[in-house]
Amino acid sequence: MFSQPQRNTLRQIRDYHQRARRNMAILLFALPFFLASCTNSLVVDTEFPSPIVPQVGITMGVVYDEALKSFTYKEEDKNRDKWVIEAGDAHTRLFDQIFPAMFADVNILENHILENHESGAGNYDLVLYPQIKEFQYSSPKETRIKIYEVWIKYHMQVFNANGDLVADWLMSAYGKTPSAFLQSKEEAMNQAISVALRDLGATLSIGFVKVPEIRTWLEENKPRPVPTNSVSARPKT
Amino acid sequence: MTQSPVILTQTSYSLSSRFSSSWALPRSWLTLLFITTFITLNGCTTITIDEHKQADADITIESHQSVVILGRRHSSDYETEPDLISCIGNVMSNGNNGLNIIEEQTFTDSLYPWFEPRTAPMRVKDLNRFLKNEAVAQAIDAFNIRYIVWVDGNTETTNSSGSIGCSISVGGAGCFGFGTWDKESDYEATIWDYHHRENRGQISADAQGTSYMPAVVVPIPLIARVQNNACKGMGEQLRNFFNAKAAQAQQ
Repeated sequence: MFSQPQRNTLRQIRDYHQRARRNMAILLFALPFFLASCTNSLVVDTEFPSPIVPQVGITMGVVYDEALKSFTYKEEDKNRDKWVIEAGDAHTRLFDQIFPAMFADVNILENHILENHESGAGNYDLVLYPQIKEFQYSSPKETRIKIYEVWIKYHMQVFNANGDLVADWLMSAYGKTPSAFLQSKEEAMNQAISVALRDLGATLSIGFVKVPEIRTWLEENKPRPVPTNSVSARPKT
Repeated sequence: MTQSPVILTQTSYSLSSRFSSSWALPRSWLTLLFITTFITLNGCTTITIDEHKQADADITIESHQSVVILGRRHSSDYETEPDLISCIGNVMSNGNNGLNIIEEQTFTDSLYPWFEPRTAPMRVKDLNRFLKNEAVAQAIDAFNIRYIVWVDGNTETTNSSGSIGCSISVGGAGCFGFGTWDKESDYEATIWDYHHRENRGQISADAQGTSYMPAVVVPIPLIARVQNNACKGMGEQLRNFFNAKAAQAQQ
């Protein structure tokens, strides 16, 4: 049916297609690995000291919503490095460390208590609801040295036992990689976020009682006296 | 045409194998010389140390008392490097007349949140602001702190020029060119007497240095260790400040 040269040509075409299919399969298999290697993934890992601040003699309920507990920043800008930063756990660890030093009693509340104020908020003097509103960073491409800068904006809300809003304010935290010497991108970013969270802890633990609405509430609702140097137990869930 | 790269590769291989067999001993010496050159050759650095002390300053430090060295980090433009603070602490604690130095991170963790970049006292009188809190005062007393030294400043690259190009080919790899850069350190240490809540003096260290990197096949960095030299200069001056004053007080 076909001459010998024609059969040879057909075999060459078939071999070519087989090779092309095999190469395409290899490429498709390897593509996710290449793409993954271009993304910087970071789970923020750091420890925080307990603050030495005068303790307020109130029972504080604290609400960590899902958005805070699982906060993950994903860089969407095509012109910047791809980053996936998980900082939710670091935030809850920070709050668990500073709130027992700030308040006589601390209880972690379920999210639904905020939605249905009458179901349990009455067991607490105040309920604090921290939320992350914005996360920004500048990378070494912008700063020209291996230093990351991080800004985080928070929305703090405090409710009373009846579920009424007592105070509502914005806070910002700032952190910068302390040293550019011999660090990976992830380590440098981790350090910048750790400094920012430490800054948040400092500002919140010193500044909470200075928020005008909180100060007014404390003047009107005399907190119970607490012994000096007292730190409440770890927050109850 | 297609054989020439192979011939070139073989030639370079045979050359290198002949070189390594007949020059075995001198080559090891050359390597040693090369490494020694790397270690000993440094760019030049000049340092200027200035000391200003209060005329009526009564500086005494007893053997059980300590000094803490802290870096200023309140400015948005720069931060005093943690490794510089650590380096000054090492210089001050070394030697026969070394002082008890508290590590910066240990101190700031124990005094959290009162010595953070945004909350740290800027003037010695500001210490009274949070020492009213007994727990804070007790935490500082636990370290037996007598002096707090604040170091403010940084090291930066002020100028750079030149260029180095590197290439890789079948025959090998190499670089060619010349690069140079200037670094400048500018630090000021302020000494606070924690017991008397008074400023005892200032020591400043200015250091400049130029680093060179000539590259003929292999780049040879001649690094001026500007920050390191500023650290040593300031650390020794601080140690002398305390020791000289302590000796004076004993007389």
